[in-house]
Amino acid sequence: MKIRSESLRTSIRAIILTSLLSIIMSVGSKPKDHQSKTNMLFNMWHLNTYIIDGESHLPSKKEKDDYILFEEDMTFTSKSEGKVEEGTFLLNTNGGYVFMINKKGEKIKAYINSISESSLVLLYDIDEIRDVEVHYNRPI
Amino acid sequence: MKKTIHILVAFFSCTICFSQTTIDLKIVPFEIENPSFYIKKVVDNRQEKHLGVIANNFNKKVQLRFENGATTTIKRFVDSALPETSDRLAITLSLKNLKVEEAQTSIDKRTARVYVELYFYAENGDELYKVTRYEDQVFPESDITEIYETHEQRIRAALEYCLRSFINFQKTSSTHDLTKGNMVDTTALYPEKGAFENYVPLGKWFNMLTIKRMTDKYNEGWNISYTGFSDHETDFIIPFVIGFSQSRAKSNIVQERGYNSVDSYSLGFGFNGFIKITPGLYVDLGINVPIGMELLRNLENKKSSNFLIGLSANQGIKIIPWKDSGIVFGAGVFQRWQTSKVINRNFGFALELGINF
Repeated sequence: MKIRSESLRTSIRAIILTSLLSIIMSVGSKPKDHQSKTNMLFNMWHLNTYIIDGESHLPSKKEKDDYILFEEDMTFTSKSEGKVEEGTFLLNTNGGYVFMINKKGEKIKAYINSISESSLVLLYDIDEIRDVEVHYNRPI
Repeated sequence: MKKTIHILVAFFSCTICFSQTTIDLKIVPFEIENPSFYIKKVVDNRQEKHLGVIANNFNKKVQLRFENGATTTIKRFVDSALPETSDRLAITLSLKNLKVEEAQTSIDKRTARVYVELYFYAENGDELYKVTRYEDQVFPESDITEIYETHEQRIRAALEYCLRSFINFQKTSSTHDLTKGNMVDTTALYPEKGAFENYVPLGKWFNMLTIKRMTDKYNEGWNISYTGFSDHETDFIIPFVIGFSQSRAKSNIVQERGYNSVDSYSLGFGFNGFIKITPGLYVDLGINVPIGMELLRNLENKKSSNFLIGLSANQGIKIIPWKDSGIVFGAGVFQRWQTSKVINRNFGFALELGINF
């Protein structure tokens, strides 16, 4: 009987310990996950493809070397159809978007559809291309 | 009699009430580097304690509220990013306005928007900063469910922006000369302290179906058109217009030009603009390219046709007394040039009557 109650106590302790450990891990992992996603953005992203209604379209010749570089000091440099622009940006984590202002004061909002270490998909908040997924990649 | 009136008043007041629905804010941790403050208290100073009247998943109008009240919900949200520590300054956050809206803003698009007005106070009651934020998102007109399900995300985004804006203000006010430090000039991303945008409601979408009677020296005609536009208080309103018109030349002019009768049919494409003078009164300006066909019958009763293309301009007023639905009135003048075999140029008057819905 004593052996049974001791093994029961050991099992309960193990369950509590495991639960506590998993709670600590899950609480700790969320900000880390967010943190890593924020850090992932601070990179040079090369324009790869456009996806419209599930169909992939290659960028034009003019857009061949287009890129966007997000720096940790919240500045960006972009190349669009060969034209280089610089400015500042803010990242709104809850809204899931980056808001960019170039040196001329022109503003663009782009929703982050998905991000990973090697890929970034943006949806620009511009009437004509609102439904176009703009895929960027980053050689690792 | 008095009792009946009370019952009727109660009945009608109940019928205009909206059912309520509640939302809560998800906690998505967001990073704020080296914050110097935490939010000790959130005070709800809104006049309207609900968030707004919006369409739910079933496109039914409902009144939106926070499940746990505004103060608890916002406090919990800010605490996730700015936890209390002994070395941080205690700030009181006063919520003056928080509105959730959605409206059709073009023929195939709907805009969902959150407006927030926040004041930051020091512990001694001094006002440190105030900020307003519109958080807009555009959706296809049919995305009712997506719009409804993302209202809470836009509230979070607006609150995050306000916090970051206050942090930016603190940084910039403590470093007056940005060039001396290693700081990036972020002033363009956030409003200056004095810049404070007053709340302007999201424009309501108007649908209008109207019949216009047009008269000029040589023709008499009518036009039926659909007009859709998103109302603005200050901007030049560009409506979507599609119409069909028919006109008949007055007989004496027609006969002078060698024809028995002339009928013309045209579709109009172009730009019309409204300028809002007061609610319900608009100045209507437009330039259109009418394209159509002119059917002619000469004095020997021989039929012929002529392709019509032209340019027309109009100036007038539109009166929309009832915002939700009702009658629309209009009056104006127009000038037209077109490839007609009878009359190329003319000037006339138009009277318009229709409905908005």
